[in-house]
Amino acid sequence: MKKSDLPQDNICTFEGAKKALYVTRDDGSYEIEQSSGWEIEELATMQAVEEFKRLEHEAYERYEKQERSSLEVWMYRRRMTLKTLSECTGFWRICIKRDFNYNRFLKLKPSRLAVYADVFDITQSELLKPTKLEK
Amino acid sequence: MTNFTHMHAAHCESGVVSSLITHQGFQISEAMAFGIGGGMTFAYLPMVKLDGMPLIAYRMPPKHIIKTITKRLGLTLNIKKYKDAKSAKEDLIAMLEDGKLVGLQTSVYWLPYFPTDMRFHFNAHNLLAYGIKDDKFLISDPVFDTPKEVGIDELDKARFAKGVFAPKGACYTIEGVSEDIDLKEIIKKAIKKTSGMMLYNFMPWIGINGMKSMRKAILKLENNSDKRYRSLYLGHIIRMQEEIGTGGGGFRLMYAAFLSEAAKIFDSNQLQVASKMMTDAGDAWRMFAFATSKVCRDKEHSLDDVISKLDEAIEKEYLTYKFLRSIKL
Repeated sequence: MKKSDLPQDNICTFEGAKKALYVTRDDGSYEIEQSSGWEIEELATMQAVEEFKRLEHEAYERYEKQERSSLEVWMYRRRMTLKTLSECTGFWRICIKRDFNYNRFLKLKPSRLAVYADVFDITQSELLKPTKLEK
Repeated sequence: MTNFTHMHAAHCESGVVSSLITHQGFQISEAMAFGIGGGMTFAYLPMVKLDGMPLIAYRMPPKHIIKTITKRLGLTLNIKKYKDAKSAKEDLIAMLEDGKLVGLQTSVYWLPYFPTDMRFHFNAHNLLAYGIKDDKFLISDPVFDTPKEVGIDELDKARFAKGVFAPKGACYTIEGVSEDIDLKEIIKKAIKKTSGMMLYNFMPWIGINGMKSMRKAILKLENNSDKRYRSLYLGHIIRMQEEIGTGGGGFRLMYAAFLSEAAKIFDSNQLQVASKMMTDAGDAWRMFAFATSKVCRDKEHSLDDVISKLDEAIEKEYLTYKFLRSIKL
């Protein structure tokens, strides 16, 4: 990539940060140059971010209808999947799935709640009552 | 620490390693560290899932570069892990007050200075701590253009994140640069190893074979009626390449920079040619990402262009390794 081809799209996901990339000078040698991002990267990153937001949104609706517990909301809010959550807590996936049950989750042992709260870096009361998500 | 200058690098691990070794008095660029450290690869691992998507890596797994380069250059690598955040923190403070430059393994998600939209659960991000000022760690994160300051307690969560590659507070220092390093011999060995792996690894997920496996997986998407999945899958490929892979086939461009540096050391025109070929391969990967993004945006778009751009990238990279192996150094 030539220096003149280096994208400078000022993408929102970088929040003003710059990325270093290797570009070629005219004589074929290399130098490191800063880029404010490429819109293709922004597209891909935002797609992943939006997907988690969509999942969080759906989970929140289920939580409001008391179909599912707030655990699911927090899981997606912290950009985790069932697999990530299982790896972080050390709980089996099938057991986490049981905790998605609304009533069961409310009656969960404090020690188990504490593990979830620690992984999400929140208090137990926040865990049980997630704030409404911003649009 | 007084004599430390922050270096902006394309990749966290090669950047950290190059800073650590340079600080020991042996000047080494990031690209050279990446090349000698054997960081280059391609891996498509459908059985390892990231957020439900296959793992696609354009470089070797975490810690590979740092381990390989210290071995090849004959340096001592001291890695420490901890059981609890408190002792990890105290130890880090002691090391910094000793004037040491310390590499840390952290989780991207819990680093306070990371842009919100780029926080995902990746536990093997490397950065440097180079001092303490007013109860704040002075941090040099190679992938950021400026040094950062982080409150003494704000690193705990990032250093003790759980899950895959859990850092367990890992921190490391490098010591003992020997006087007589035969760089030529090391470069020769590194190029041979990398090109051999890319061309001849028997596993279908690694190297050129891995690229072909990924091509097959993309072809399968053509018949998949779930268009949202198709779009997410392709977006995932771009992310692995652009966001996590330093951008625009960035590792290819960095490897090309390494080859160009090596060409100067050997005074070899052929290596310079190989460097040019590798740049072209990197640019081809960039065009592939561009073509893929079109399909991501428009769900009805055909995949033909994506496949032809991928074929081009595979072909170019294949020829580069073939050529590299034919050079007598």
